Amino acid sequence: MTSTQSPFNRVVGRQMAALTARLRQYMTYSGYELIELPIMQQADLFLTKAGDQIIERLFTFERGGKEWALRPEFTAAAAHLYSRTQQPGTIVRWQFSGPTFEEDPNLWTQEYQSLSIGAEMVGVGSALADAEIMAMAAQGLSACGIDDGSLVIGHMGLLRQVLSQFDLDSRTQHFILHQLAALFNPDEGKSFVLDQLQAILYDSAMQPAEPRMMPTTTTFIGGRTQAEIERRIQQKRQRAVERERIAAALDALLDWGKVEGDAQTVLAYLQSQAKTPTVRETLNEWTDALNLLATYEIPSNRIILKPGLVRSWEYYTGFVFELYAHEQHLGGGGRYDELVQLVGGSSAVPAVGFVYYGDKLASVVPELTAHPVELRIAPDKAQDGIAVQWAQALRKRGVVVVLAEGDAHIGADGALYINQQPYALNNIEAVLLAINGVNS
Amino acid sequence: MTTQVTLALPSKGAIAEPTISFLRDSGLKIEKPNQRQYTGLMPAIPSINVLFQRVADVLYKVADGTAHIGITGYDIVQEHPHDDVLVIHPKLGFGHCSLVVAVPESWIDADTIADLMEISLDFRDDKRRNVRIATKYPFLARQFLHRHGIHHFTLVKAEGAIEAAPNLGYADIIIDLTQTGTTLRENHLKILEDGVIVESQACLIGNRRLLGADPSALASVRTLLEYIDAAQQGRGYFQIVANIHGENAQAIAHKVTQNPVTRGLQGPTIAPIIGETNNGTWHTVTIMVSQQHLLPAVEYMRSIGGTQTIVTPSRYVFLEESPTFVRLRESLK
Repeated sequence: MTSTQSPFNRVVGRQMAALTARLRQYMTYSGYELIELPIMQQADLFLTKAGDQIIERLFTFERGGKEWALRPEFTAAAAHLYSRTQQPGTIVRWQFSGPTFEEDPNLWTQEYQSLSIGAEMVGVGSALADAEIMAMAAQGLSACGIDDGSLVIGHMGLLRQVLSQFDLDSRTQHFILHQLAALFNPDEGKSFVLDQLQAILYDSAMQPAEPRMMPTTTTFIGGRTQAEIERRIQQKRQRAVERERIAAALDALLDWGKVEGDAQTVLAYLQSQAKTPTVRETLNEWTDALNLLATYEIPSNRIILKPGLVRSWEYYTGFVFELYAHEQHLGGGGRYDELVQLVGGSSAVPAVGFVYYGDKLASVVPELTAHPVELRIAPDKAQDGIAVQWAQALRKRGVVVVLAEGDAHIGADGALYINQQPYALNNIEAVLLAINGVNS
Repeated sequence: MTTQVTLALPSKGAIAEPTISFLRDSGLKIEKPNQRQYTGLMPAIPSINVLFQRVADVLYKVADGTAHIGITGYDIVQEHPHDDVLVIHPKLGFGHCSLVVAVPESWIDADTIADLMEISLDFRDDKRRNVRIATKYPFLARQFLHRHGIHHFTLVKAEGAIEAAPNLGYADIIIDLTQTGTTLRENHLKILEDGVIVESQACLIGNRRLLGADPSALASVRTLLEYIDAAQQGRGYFQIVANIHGENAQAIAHKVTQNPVTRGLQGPTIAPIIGETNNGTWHTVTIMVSQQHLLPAVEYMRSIGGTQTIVTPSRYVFLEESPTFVRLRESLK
């Protein structure tokens, strides 16, 4: 890995600017309006439903007694903007592009900032919306000249529903979902997760045989009442007897997580495993979205279903997906129906979105930079005024003019000389023809 | 030309007096010509000037290059990490304390950081607010809490008696320094089992840029470290001199080295005692032993015939080179 991937490298920077312009234009065709979001926001916004992996890399600092962060992504900020500016139910299609930040240098660019380009659709919870986002993400790659990109698609909603069948308390479910990435990681797996849950959910001192008693002389400080403390002790005791159910839930999740393959095969298997009407209904909705992808002409051999796909951000509630091409992970996204409310909205709002990792994408797309027509006119102190007149006249016709030694000069007669051929200022069309020759 | 090296020392606070004592015990007495001034001299190393600062400011003075080196608390260095500051000696052996997470004793359901993580979620779910934490160490507190999965909290900056914050109601728990835990207990607080964030004591720090660029300054720091290391080594060792009867030096050496605690640093020094009544069979044995082995060593010397045993503390033990300076030299490369 070298620093040549850095966005501050002139050549890479030009490619990234061209890529951004290309994708912006592409997303505009689907009605996605470009929005600007703050680079710096209160850290709490990003800490809500961020995975540990993200939080460890969050670039934070303190001002005025508050913790602030440089944005690590756009989705939470977009959800926050929606909660502040839109009525629940309003449908928005937003696109964004710009730098995102992390505390450690990006492995790819060796810089603390990366380029993110993406889109969010808030206010719609349909299969059509899911398909639109996935198709736009996949076909955006084609718009940049990558025709062999693939989509790996999972479903956090299904995993949540599988988990909910085990009648565990909401906090236990929360912690298990938090550990999903570890559960599906062969190096960690079930025993690792059970150890983690052991430490978090119950401890040896909380066995039912050893009830803890509140001393009668206790002074209650620290914002918690006796009832709250006793309720938590009760919850921990309850969990101690739930261990077998937790282990069974992890087994069920592992069963779903190990499946991977083409959509038809995987969906058929999952339908056979579905035990509740809710799971079957979610599977049907997922199937609808996947069928629509075919209508979008996404080839079925470019789609891999992987129900155990877990993304770094924990706000996903429905389908999730990742984009791959040239052996690079180029982006991803999914549905996050709870985030708007979590970051301040008055009610839950369905939402879906995706992001491209701009730096990686810029490195694998073919050369995108469209060089504008450029002319260099040599300055000459005696003719500077005329050189500026020529420059302004040509710039108005879309020509990039640099006043520097190069292609042309101003003669003593005030004419512009290109390849020894003089051109008069009142014959700009002839100059344009000549310039195209210079640039070709 | 010799560079005058500036050593920043704490002017007040818990480690101010112990720092002066530590240096004096290392043979590096500080002279303060005028009690009202913030400068001093170190006669043992004339190329070192002393600058007295508040303990937190010692770090800033070293960081900005006003001072080449300084003595401050390790907790302060960890709280304010700075690229130009390197820790030359992390454990000077005084000013011990710990930065800990302490919760109310009434939270009988909270023993570990994992408990605190769940309680922080309870605060958010039930009370619609973050758990409030009073601390003077926001950087270390945030780093530690996030590392342990606690992401929703509000730090309440406080000066002075942090441990009173939960009682006064402006914080729920605290993250603060403690030495013995007595003050925490008096304020109805308890330390979480895995709630120690930093084990701290006084440390010697230096400005990486200044020391790396100036061999003359580095030479003065080397002299300082020779004294400090040798004195620290010396504090742990005693010299034992005993008279032992034996056939010859080899036979006595064989007996002495049978026990690991009397083998000394390299081995015993054995010399014959010259006297009218001595027919050459009495010898004086000299060995160095560590403090923890002192009495077992004396007992063993007695058991092999040692008598008239004299024990003297060693002021300095100089090794081949100051180990701290060797590490410093490596870290400057």
